[in-house]
Amino acid sequence: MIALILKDLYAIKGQMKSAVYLLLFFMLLAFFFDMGPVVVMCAVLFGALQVITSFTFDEMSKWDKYGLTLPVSRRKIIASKYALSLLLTMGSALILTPLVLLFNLYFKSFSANELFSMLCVISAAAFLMLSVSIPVLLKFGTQKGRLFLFAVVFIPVFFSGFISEYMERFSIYLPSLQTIKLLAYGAPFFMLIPLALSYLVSAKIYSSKEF
Amino acid sequence: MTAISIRNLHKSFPAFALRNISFDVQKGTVMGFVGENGAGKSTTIKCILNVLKKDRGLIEIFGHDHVEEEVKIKEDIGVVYDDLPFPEMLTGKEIEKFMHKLYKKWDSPLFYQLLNQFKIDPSKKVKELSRGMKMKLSISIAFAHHPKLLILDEPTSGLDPIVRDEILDLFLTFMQDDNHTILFSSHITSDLEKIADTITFIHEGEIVFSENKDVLLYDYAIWKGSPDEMKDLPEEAIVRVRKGVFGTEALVRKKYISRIFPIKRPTIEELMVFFTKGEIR
Repeated sequence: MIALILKDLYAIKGQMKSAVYLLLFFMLLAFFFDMGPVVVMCAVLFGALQVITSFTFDEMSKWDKYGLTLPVSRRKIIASKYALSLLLTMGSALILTPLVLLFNLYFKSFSANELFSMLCVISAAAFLMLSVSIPVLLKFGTQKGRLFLFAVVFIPVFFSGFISEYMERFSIYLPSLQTIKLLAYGAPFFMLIPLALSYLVSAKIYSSKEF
Repeated sequence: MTAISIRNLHKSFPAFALRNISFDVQKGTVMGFVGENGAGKSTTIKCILNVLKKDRGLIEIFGHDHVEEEVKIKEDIGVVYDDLPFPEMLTGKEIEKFMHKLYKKWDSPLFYQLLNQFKIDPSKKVKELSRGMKMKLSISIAFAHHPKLLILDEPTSGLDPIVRDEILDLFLTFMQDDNHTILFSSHITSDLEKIADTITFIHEGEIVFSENKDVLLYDYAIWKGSPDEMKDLPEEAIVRVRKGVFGTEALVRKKYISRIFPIKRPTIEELMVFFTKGEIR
């Protein structure tokens, strides 16, 4: 499995370089406009998107027809993609967080707790996005899958405005800040459940997939 | 002992089907797998490798079921497709770094020795390599884990004769070991005439023949003449007939005709053409 993760990391290294340049640009923004937490959010999402890029590269090069001739089971091939997604999302957060905290020593505009809760929420969002997108990409391919992914990301954002409006109209109130914070900290762990379920679905799809 | 044994393999698609495919590849031999484009060569190979799921039938590799013991079997198989299906950003060096973690018997010095022999720069990206170089890299990867069985799906198509000859020499060197076997799919029949021991011919998803190459080339013969002269040929000798501008040609079984008839030895290509385009009498 490590070999397959390594293959994906080598394949996306060019993309990673571009992502690093973009993040350096964001770092500058963060430094001058005090947007540290936004940088970490971007880094986590960039990490998650690289997994999708790795699927695109596999499809373009017809890798799977070769990958399936290797002494690796289909389940392990899929497991390597999920391991890669955890590695990239968590890795991006782990690399960027200390840097942003270092900036904050100068700006002192947010607390470490705030950053941490935001990080938890964005990691959870990234896990959820991957939980949906990986099986979709496997089932429909990267071309159709991307459209679906677009819908997965933007439909909730689009409807969030309506939801908040309806919540006010029907006197539904958000829980206390303390509860929200607790939920935020737990979110990535809760989202590991859909990620695990997603793995089972993906393994099932891939077990009968032909190339 | 058989390296690959296939019995009654069926695989259907909306517009094409493999029907009742059965043949054996004996250990220590090279089987040439021929057929026109779209005849079912790649589909059969992908079914053997479980890249495509068979509908029914039995496939055994080294005496083991190809699905039940898939991972174990694949340690001993080297595969070369007609392209190099690796992400284009990868370099030879990077490919080596992860491939050596996949195979127990991966031999890094051998891999680099082959790259050196082929004059391939290991730090060049796949996308920077010519078609010939890509195929040589693909062969180096297939050889580097000391496989017992090579499955080659059109490895020489689109290559110039010099590169093809170089690659065929490599396969011949591989066959110096009696435990080694090759299943070589190609529609370049001259390549197969050079290295194959047996020829399996597939046409429209069905096996037409699977026979020792020499037996095949000595059993059959080509007779040429006019339609009137053809009447003298014994009926049982005629396998297929082709009518052209310059007369009539018949593929005949040598054992049924007298030596007085002017015949010539066929090539595999001619056999293919007769079996696909010739009329049955």
